[in-house]
Amino acid sequence: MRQTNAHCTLTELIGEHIRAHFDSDLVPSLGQFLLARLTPYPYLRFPLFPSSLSLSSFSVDLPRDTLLTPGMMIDLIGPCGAAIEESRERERVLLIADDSPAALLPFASSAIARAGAATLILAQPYPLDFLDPRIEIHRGDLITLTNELAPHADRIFIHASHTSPAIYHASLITHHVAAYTLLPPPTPCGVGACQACYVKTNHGHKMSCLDGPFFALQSLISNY
Amino acid sequence: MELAPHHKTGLTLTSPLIAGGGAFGFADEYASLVDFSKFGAFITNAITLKPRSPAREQQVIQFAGGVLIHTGLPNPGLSNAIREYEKKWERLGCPVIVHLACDSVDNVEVCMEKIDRVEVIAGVEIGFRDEEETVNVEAMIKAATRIGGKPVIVQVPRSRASLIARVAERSGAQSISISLPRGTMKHDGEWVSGRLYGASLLPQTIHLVRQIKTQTALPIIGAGGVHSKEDVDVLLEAGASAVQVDSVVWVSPQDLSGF
Repeated sequence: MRQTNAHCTLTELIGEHIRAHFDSDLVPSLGQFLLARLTPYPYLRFPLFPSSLSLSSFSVDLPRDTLLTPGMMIDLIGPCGAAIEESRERERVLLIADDSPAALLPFASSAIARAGAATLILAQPYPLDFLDPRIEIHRGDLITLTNELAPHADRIFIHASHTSPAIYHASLITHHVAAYTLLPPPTPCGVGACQACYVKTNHGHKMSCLDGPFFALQSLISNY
Repeated sequence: MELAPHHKTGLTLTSPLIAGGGAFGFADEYASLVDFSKFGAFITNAITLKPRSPAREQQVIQFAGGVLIHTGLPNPGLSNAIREYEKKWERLGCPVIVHLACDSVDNVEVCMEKIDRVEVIAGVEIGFRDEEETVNVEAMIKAATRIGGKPVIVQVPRSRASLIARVAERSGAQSISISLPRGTMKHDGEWVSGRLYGASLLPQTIHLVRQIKTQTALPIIGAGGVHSKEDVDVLLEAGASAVQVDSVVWVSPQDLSGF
């Protein structure tokens, strides 16, 4: 855990978001996030879930009204949360997003880099030009598509902003596929000190900033 | 400075700066970002006799003046906390003060007996529900000061700061700290109550330190809204013996090194 600065090198308009690219000596691992000071409010840092990662840079989709221009430095704390292990073998990942899929895209990149495959189910419009063309895109009803595509996946990653992950639960349990859902924490501290981001799991209460933000859907069964 | 001048062990701080207020955790959560040896003391998050689960609907709500946080004061319970954190407290680099959230004399007695056996705990800060009856508060403070040998700091609610400060003094407490206020906001159509943090608390904190100073001779820990070295200095000038920093650590842990 460190506090440092990252240098914004580029911003691009992506639909209702901007994609900001940063050079940084602080880059989270797959599944982790960073806390940035971006907003005029002094307290809560903004959680950054990267849409792409490299050794010394990352990009992230932010709300369109974020005051950020190339050349700016932002203050970061991180990495926060638990990393998701990258598969050592070729794997097929299924990504399910009812809003922006940005936070899930590193899982696609990771799978593709290992000669695997990535499929994305989109419920909302998203500029396809900004997606890796090797990702197979499906649009439509999330549940229908999930039922259709889940049996072919090795791992599933879900970002449900508008719907409860519970709606996928029955379907995914049936298919016995490892599924992870993003539960973005309200995060004053990011280090487990403020006790404000607890998630109830089958193994007791866990902190999203330490044990998340991606939780195995199976471990959340008691919530559903 | 000395927070317990008339106590047999005393509670000596090498710096007037105290980390606490429910912002720094139970032990070393911030150790990778903050140098605890710069603090005069560390006050833990609230600990109760029995373990407490998080609130069913935890909330963190920003507003222009700060943030409201409703957590339910989750904690592992005193015995588990001692087991889990004692070694970490020993390595922290500053005196450790356990914050006890109290609701009965019986609880206080059991807690103080357990705490008395833990050498690394330098003192106890006891806090109450804001609406706790004064007679109960007095009984709990007396129990805390009667049992065990640790200095007792009484955290006074803002709404009755002077009254409870006087009660604390006549009940044998060694010093006074000021609680963070509670507030209510509407969020997603629901009323949410919780603790308030933010720089907007500072003027009220200064006011309370000056007010309490006229009511008691006990050392006072100024707490609430401290966000800069200048804030620390003005609270000391107002009469505080020590100053607690809390949510400023969420803003920028690094900046604490300049306090």
